[in-house]
Amino acid sequence: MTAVPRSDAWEKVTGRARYAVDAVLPNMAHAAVVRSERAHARISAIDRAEAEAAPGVIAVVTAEDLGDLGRRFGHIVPDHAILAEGKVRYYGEPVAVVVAETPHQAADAAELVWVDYDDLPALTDAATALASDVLIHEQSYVEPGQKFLDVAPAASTDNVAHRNELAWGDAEAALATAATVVETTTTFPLVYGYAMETYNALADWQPGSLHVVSTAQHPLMVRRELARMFSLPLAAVRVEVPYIGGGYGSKSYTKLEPLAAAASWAAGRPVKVTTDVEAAMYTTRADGALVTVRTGFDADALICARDIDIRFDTGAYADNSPLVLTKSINRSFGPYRTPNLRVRGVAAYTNTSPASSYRGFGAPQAALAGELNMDMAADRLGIDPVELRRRNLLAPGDTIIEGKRPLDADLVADLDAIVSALDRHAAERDAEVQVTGGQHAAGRDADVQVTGARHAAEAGIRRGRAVAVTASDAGASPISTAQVRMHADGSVTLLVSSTEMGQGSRTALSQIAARELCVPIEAVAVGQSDTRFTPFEWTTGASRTTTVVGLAVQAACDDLWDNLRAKAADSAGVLVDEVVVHGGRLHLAADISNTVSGSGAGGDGVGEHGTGSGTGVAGALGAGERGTSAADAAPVVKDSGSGLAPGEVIRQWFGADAGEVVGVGVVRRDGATAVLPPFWEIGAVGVEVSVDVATGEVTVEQLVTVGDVGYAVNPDLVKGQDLGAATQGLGIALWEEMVYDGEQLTNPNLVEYRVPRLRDTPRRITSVLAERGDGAGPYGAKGAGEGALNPVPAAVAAAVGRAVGVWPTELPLTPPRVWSLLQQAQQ
Amino acid sequence: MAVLPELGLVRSSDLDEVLAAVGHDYAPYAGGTELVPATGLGLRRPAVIVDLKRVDALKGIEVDAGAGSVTIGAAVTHRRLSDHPVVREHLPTLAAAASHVGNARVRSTGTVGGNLCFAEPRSDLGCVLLALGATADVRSATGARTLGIDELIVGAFETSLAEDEILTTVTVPFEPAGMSYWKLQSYERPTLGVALVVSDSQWEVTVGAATERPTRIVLAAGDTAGLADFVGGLELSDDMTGPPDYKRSVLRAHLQRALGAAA
Ligand SMILES: Cc1cc2nc3c(=O)[nH]c(=O)nc-3n(C[C@H](O)[C@H](O)[C@H](O)COP(=O)(O)OP(=O)(O)OC[C@H]3O[C@@H](n4cnc5c(N)ncnc54)[C@H](O)[C@@H]3O)c2cc1C
Repeated sequence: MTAVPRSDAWEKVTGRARYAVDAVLPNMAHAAVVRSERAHARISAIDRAEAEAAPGVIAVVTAEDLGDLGRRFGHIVPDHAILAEGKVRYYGEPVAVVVAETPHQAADAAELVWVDYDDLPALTDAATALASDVLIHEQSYVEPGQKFLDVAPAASTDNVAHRNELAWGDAEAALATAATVVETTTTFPLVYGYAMETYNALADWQPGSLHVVSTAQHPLMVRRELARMFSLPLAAVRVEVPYIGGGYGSKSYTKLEPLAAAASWAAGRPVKVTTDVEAAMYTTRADGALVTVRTGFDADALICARDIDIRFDTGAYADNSPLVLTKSINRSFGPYRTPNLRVRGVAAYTNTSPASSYRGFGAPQAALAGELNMDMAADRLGIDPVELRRRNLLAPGDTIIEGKRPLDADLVADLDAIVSALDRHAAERDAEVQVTGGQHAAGRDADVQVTGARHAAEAGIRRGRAVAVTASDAGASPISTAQVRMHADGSVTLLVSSTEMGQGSRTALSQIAARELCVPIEAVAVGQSDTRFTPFEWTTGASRTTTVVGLAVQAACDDLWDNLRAKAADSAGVLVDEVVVHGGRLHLAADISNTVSGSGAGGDGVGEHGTGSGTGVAGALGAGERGTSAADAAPVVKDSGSGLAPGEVIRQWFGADAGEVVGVGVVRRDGATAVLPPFWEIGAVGVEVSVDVATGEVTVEQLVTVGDVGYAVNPDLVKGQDLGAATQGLGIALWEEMVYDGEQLTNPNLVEYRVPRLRDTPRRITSVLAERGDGAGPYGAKGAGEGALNPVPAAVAAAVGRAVGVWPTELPLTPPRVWSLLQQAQQ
Repeated sequence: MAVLPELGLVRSSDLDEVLAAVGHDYAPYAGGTELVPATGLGLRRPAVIVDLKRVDALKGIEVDAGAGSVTIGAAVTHRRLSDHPVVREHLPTLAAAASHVGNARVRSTGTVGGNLCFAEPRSDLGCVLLALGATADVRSATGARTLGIDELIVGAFETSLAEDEILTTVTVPFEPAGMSYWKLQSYERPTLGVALVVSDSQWEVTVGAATERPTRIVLAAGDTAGLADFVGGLELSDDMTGPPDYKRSVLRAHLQRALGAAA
C-alpha cells in the first residue's frame, strides 16, 4: 500500500503524546523502591521505623504487609516475588516500597529503611548455578500439569527454570558417519532492551476495583495477573496503556504493576512507581546464552545432522524465559534442511537481574552459533558461504518443524537480493575511493583525529563480508479482537488493544481499516489500549500486529459491512441479500449488475478479504467485491448505480443525523490462522565490516536487510522496523553488554552501557522489501519487527572473523576483544 | 536513585559574592554534566550548590597578543570554545578537541572549569591544556594563585583546590607548530588521548584518559629508547574500555604512525 505518514507523528514531535510516566490521578502519592544490596541473601530484619517517621511518608510496605494478596506473579512459573520475602535473589530486587507525598520525600525516606542480610553464596552465572547445591528457589511453584501455551514448566528445584528438547532422526549416528563435522560455541551477552521510556506504573486500588496505567506491552496479560493477585473479576481490573516509549519485548508481561498495585492497596492512595535506567536494567534483561552447534555435512556439503546445546542465563526469576527457550530451540537449526536433529535447551536460574522476552525472542542467541557455524563450515569445506547456504536452505512450502506451518518464504531469492546489493555497495565504494584517493574529507578538524571515523581504504584496515539468514515461528497465539465503530458521517473509530510503542501499529491498522471501508485514512481514529473499553488482544509482540490484528480489523470491517447491509435492507424494506457493496457504497444488487457487470472496479479501494458477506454473484462482481444479487427495491439507490454511502445508511436507519454501526472481528486458531505459527518471520541480512588493526575498532560499513513481509502495508514503516532492528543487532554485536563484576552491575547507565548512536549507522544501507504475497495476513502480509535483528550479531561476528582471521566466540566485539583476536591471529 | 536530594542554591553574577559563598559543603557548578549525576548517585553530597554560569568574569575569552596567550573563563562551554574565532585561530587543536567532546548536550553545557575541576581522568582538555603549557588561575575570597595544569590536577578525581577556592580562568600560550591531538573514543568518554608537539629537535608527548592524570614527557627528537621507556612505564587504567596491554599497544601503534618511531 502506501507509505502514509504516521498518525502519531504530530503528537510525538510536539511533545504532546501521553506516556505512562505522564499519568496522574487525583490524590496521587509517589513510591521509591528499596532494592537489595545483595545478590543472594536471607533477609534477617527490616527496620523501617526511621523511614516511617520521615516527612511526608504515608506507608512503608514490605512482603509481610501484603496480607492475603497474592505474593508472587509469573505467567508461566509463578515464582516472582512482588517484594522479596525471606530472601533476596538478585542485587537490585525490590525489598520494600516507600510511599510518600512527593518523589523526593519517598527517595529520602527509602534511604532510611535498614535491611539486614545473612549472605548466601551468589550464583551469578549459569555454569556455577547448574553445578551448585545451593538453591536459588527452594520450592517449586508449579502445579502438576500447569501449562502456558505448549510450555509445561519444570517442577524442579535444581536451579533449572526450564528445560526442553526437539529431536528427529538420529543426530548422533548421522554425525558419526558425516563426511565433515564442524563445531561452534558462542557466548551471547546479557543485554538490556534499552527503550527511551523505562518501566512506569500508576495504580489506584479501591475496594472491589483496580485501575492501572502502565508501560505494559500486553495489557490483557497484566490484567489477568492483577485479577489473580487481588482475587478480582477481570472486569474489575482496568489496565490502560497510553503510548509506550519503546518496548522491544522488554515490557512484555507483568513488571512493575503488582508493586504499584500493592503499594496503592497498602497506602490507600493512587501510587506511582517509576524507574531510572539502573532500576530498569535490574527489572528485565534478555537471556544470556552459551550455545554449541555441531553440524555434520555429507560429501556434497549437504547438512546431514545438527546437534545443538543451548544454555540460558535466565536470572533470578523465570518470567517469559521458558517460552523464549522453547522458541530459541525452534529457531536454532534452520532455515536449513536438517534430516537429523537434536536440540537440547536449559534455562538456568542465576542470582542476576531476571531475563525475559527481547526482540528476536531466542533467535539471535541461537543464530549467533548456528550461522557462524555455517561460515566456519564453508571455510572448512572450501565452499563460498552463500553457496553453502543456497544448497541447504529450505524451499517455499517445505516443512521446518513437523506439524507447523510450512515455510512461507523464498529464502534463496532473499539471499540473492542481499548479494546483489552488497556487490553494488562495493562497486560504489571502490568508485568513491578512486575519486578521493582514499582520503577522508578532513575539514577544519584536521588537527584532531577521532578513531572510528577513519576511511576504510587506509592502510591498517581489514575488511570482511558475511550474510546470515534466520526463520522464526512468529505471530504468537492467533487470538485477537477488533471493533470498528462507524459514525453518522461515515468516519470510523477503530478499537484495538494492541499497544503503540513506536512501531507504527496505529498507522498500519488504520490503513487496513481505511482500505477495507473505502474511507480516507484521515477518517479513521484509533486510540490507546484500555482494557475497560478496547477489546481483547493476546499480546503486542512476536511481530504479530499487522498480520494477526490486521486480520481481526479486516474481519471487523466485514462485519461492519454486513451490519450496514442489514440496516440498508431494513430501511428499504428488502432482504439483506438484495443489498450489495460496491466501491465503498451500498447498492441494490439489481442496479449494480446493470452498471458494473463483470467489472473489477474498486481495485485497490476494496480489500480482497470479502468472506464475511454473502455468496452468490460475488464472482460476477469481480474479486475483491462483497455482496450478493438482489431483486428490485429501488429506494436504496437514488441515482441508479450510485448507491448510498455508509453514513447515509446510518442516518437513514436512525432517522436522524446521528447513530453508529459497529463491526466486530475475531481471529482465533481457525481459517487463515488454523496452522501455527501464523507466519515464519524471516531475517536475512548482509554486512561488510572494516577492522582497524591498531585499535581493534570495528566499523560496519555496509548493511543490507531484506524485509520478507509478503506485502508491505506501509513500506516506510517496514523499512523503519528493519533498520531499527538491525541497528539494535549491531549494538549487541559490537558494544552492548551488562557487565557483572561480582554481585552487581558495573555499568547500569547509558554512558557505560553503550547503545548504538547515529554515527554508528553503516555508511551504506539498502533495505530490500520482498513482497511475494506469501503471508497469511491481510493482502498476503507477514510480520516485521524482529526479523532484521536476528541474524545481525551472527553476520557481524562472521564478517569480523573473516577480516581478522580468527572466528570470534563471544560478543560484543568491543575494540579490546577484537584486538585480542588480532593478537591470536598473529600467533 | 535518579531523584536528586534537595539542595540550596546560591546564584549571583558577581564573582566576589560567589567567592564569599563557596566553602565546606558547598559545590560550585557550571554545566552540571558531572555534578548532577555524581550527586544523583550519592558520590557527592553538597548541601548548597553555587552557580558559576552567570558570573561574567568567568565567561570571557581574551587574547593577549603581547604575551602570546589566550585567557579562557572557567565557565566557557566546550561549544563556545570550539566555535570561538580567537580559539580557532590561536589554539586550533584545543578548539578541535572541544568539538569532539562527548556528545552535543555535553558540549553545549559542559565547561572548561567543570572538566578540569572534576579531574575525571577520561578527559581531553586536561591532556591538551597540559601539552600547551596552560596555567590555571585560582581564587578564593582571601587570595589568588596560579598553578600549572599538573599542579591543579593531582590525581584521578582529585585537584589541589581548597574548599573555598574556584578556578576562574586558564591562560593558554598560542599553539606551537607541529601540534596534534589524537584520541581513541569507542565509548562516550575517551579511552586514550595523545597530544604531540613535534619539532626537528624535540618530541613532546602528553598522554591522557588512560592515565590517572595527563602525563607529559619531553624527549630529544629520535629518542626512541626514551619514548619506549616512557610508554612502557605508564600506569594505564584497567576498565571496561580495555586492559592496560591493549591501551599500551594502541598507544605504541599511534606513536609509530605519528612519529615514525618504534615505541
Ligand atoms: C556522556 C559524557 C561524555 C563526556 N565525554 C567527554 C569527552 O569526550 N571528553 C572530555 O574531555 N570530557 C568529556 N566529558 C566530561 C565533560 O567534559 C565534562 O562533563 C564537562 O566539561 C564538565 O563541565 P560542567 O560545567 O558540566 O561541570 P559541573 O558538573 O558543573 O562540575 C564538575 C565539578 O567541577 C566543579 N567545578 C565546576 N566548575 C568549577 C570551577 N570553576 N572551580 C572549581 N570547581 C568547579 C564542581 O563542583 C564539580 O565538582 C563527558 C561527560 C559526559 C557526561
